[in-house]
Amino acid sequence: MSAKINLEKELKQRCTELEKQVKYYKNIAQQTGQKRLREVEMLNNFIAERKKSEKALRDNEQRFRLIAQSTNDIFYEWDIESNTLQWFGNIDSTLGYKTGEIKHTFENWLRLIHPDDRHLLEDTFLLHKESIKPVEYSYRVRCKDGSIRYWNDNSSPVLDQEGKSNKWVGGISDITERKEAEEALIQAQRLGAIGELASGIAHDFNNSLQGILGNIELALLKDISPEVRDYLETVKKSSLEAASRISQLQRFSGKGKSQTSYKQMSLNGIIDDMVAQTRPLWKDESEKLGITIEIEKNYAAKELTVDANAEDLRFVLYNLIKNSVQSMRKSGKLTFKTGETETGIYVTVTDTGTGMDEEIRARVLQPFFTTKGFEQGKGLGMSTSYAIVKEHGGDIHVKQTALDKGTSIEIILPYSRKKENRPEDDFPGYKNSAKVLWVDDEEVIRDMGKALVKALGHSADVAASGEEALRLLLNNQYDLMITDVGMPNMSGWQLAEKIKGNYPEMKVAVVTGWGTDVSKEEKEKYGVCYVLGKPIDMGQLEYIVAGV
Amino acid sequence: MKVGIGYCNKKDAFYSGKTAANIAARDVITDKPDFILAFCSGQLDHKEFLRGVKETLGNTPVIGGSTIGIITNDYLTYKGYPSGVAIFQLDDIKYQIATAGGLDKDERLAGHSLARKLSKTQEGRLLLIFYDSIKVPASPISPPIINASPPLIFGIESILQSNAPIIGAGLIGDYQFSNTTQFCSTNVCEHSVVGALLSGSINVYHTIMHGCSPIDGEYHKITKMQGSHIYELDERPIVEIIDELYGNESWGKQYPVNLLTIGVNYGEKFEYREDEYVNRLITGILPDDSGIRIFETDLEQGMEIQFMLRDGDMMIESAKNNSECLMKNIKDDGKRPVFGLYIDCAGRAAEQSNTLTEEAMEVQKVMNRYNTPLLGFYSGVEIAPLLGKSRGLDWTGILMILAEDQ
Repeated sequence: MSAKINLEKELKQRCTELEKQVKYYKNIAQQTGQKRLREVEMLNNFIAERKKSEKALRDNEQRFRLIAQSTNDIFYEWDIESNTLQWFGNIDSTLGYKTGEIKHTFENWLRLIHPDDRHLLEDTFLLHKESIKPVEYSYRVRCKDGSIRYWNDNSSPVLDQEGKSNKWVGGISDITERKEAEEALIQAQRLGAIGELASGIAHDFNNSLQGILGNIELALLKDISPEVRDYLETVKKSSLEAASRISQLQRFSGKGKSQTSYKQMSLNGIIDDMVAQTRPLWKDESEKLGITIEIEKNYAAKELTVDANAEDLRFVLYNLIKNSVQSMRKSGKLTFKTGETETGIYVTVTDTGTGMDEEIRARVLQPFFTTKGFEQGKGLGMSTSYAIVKEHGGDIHVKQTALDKGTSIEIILPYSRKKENRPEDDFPGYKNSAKVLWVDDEEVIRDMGKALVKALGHSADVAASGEEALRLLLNNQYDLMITDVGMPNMSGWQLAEKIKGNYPEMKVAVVTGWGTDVSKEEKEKYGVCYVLGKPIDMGQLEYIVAGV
Repeated sequence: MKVGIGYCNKKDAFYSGKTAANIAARDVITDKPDFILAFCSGQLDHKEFLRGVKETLGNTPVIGGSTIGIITNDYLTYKGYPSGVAIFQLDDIKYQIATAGGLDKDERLAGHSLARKLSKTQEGRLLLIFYDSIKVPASPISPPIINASPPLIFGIESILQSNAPIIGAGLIGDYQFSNTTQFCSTNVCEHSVVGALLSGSINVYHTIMHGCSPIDGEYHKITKMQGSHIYELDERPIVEIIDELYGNESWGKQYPVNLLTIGVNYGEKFEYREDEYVNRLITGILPDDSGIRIFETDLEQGMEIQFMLRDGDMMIESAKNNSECLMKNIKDDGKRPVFGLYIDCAGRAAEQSNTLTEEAMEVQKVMNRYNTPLLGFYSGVEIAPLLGKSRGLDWTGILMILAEDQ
């Protein structure tokens, strides 16, 4: 009995122990479960945070890329220690490469830099290692087609905890257009200065030529031997050629504007004409040298009309074609493209010739600059073309060029305005005998003038200054006063203004060595009928004097 | 049997349908398949999508409907407007398609109706069903009311009297629980269930994957519940028990609750086998904190449940191991896998489960390794046989493979 009681007691005890054990294990399980849940929750939160920051990073990077794309800027990050470079932005298409064609490595970056500018980068890299100040500098990069673009690089250091730069981040802006505009301005200023200089020289030359030509004319009126006549004719011809060259120089300086009229004309039509007229140049002569030049016309579909002087425009196109053909030492293509821009109508003449380096490009529009030697050209073709295009209110510039990659020259002409009546200067009738007052501070000129007037069967008085002319006018009656412009104390214009309205029967002509670009309004203001350029030849003088 | 898979992700529904169908047809080299499975983003115009499919493939019957995302051998996405098409040339396999509406009125009757249309066929090998998960869409002030899977399955099984496993999904088209659309042969329907009964020489394999495990092994008895609301376990407020597990009340702000599910073990009580557990998603705490709401209504008072841990890493491991195991079994059986259908709970996507990688990628990898065409989609409820009885499952991935004899 007691054994049974003992067994029951043991069993009860065992049950109690087992219950305790189950409770103990349940408790452990619960605690483990709670711990597991909380750990997974922590892990989950950690992952959620990480995903959130990764998403934010991705979003930022995407935003950054979009900004880079939309601004056309390039951004980079350079790790100094690893010397690795990452860049963002549409660098490939900016430089004419296909997307992905340039591998984004430091070495490739350097390869893009113009060899002459690489030292700038090397210096800057050294600076980067030491400096913690932002750096800004500009350099040139080469496009796939060999052309050059200008980049402005603005970088700032990323500082570590010790305040040292371990990375640099930077932004690059393409400043080619700004640079070209600056260069164009410098070029224009340089050309302007050259023009001023040329204009001064032209004035002096014209004065000298006036003396030479006038006296030749007088000598030719004399009874001289045929041999001497031939000599004089040769001298006259040479003097007239010199005068013509001076006239080109004056056009370049903007003071010898063509006196001929402007007409509305088809730009494509005039190009067609010039391509046809220059066929011997680009076809026959080139083929003799084994060079085949293909002409490509890429005209705007719309008829393009410009206000232009046809001869002038032909001169410009002729020069461009000639230069292009001469630059093509092997077979290639000469392309004419026309179209419209915001500012006007353009024609681009592109060849596949030798192209220009930057030095030639900078000087190509300057007078007397030639790459062909003076036996092939005088170096006035492009400068005169520049003058002509400017006279037309347009612009001419080298659009694109690189050595061995050809050249593209663009001319922009203003849109044709409503057809204007540009009245030709009225031509005078003829008068048999006229009395002329010739005013010039240079004795040689005024004496030569008097002799020329007389030789034409008219009479003339001379005055050495404006003041003397005024005195003579008080006591004499003249049909025509011819006065030099550039005189001390009182210029020809001032003289004309002083007497304006006082002598209605007398016509006034001013003679200038500075070019004849004077508006009708200006002439009216001073009461001047004619503006004559030096040197005046006999025919011109006869025409004017007879008109009074 | 030949299978072709097509995928597209474009906003233009017609273009998407046409393109996905074209790509699928290119694989099979046919423009007249026997049967089409198609799923498209809830954001696409389903009528237009179907018109696009028909433009390429004529009036071939189409079953499927709305989804959140698509999984194929090459693509996996729930962003944008994904769509996927699988086309089948069935050869010796016979099929019958039926549709039943009125799911929002009575799920069981809809199941009856569907089964009646299929019951005259010979014994099937597989019944694929896709149904509208959403009875009433979510609104700013109330959660969605969903169509329950248990009465639907009960309705089908009570009439069909077939051993054919029922595999399928309750469809959802977006994470906002908007209305969904079903492709019912040649039309589009709503509040409907569409089924295809396949019979003939085809072998059907499947695996159930969730990766959830009992959090502490303790069983709790449901002592108070109503419909889909559970109030008490072991005569204690369930909210209090969950608070204890978390150590705080933060879980109460989660809809659905991130790391916990309610698990019902249909296998041996003290043995853990993943494929013998049914998980029920806790969709959230009740507004008055008196209890929780679960996704389905099939739990009852008196049942024993366990809290299951939804662990992302285990989910991925589970997808990897179970997929591999299934394919290996098929090979071991001397069968040739010809098509894989992956029905994946939308809550398992990385963005929802907070994992660094997609678990469905593991399935993709396995299917690609076994060179088996795959079409998968993200669903609301997954249906597959568990211990011989088809059930609606939550937070589960079901990989079904059709295999032929070698």
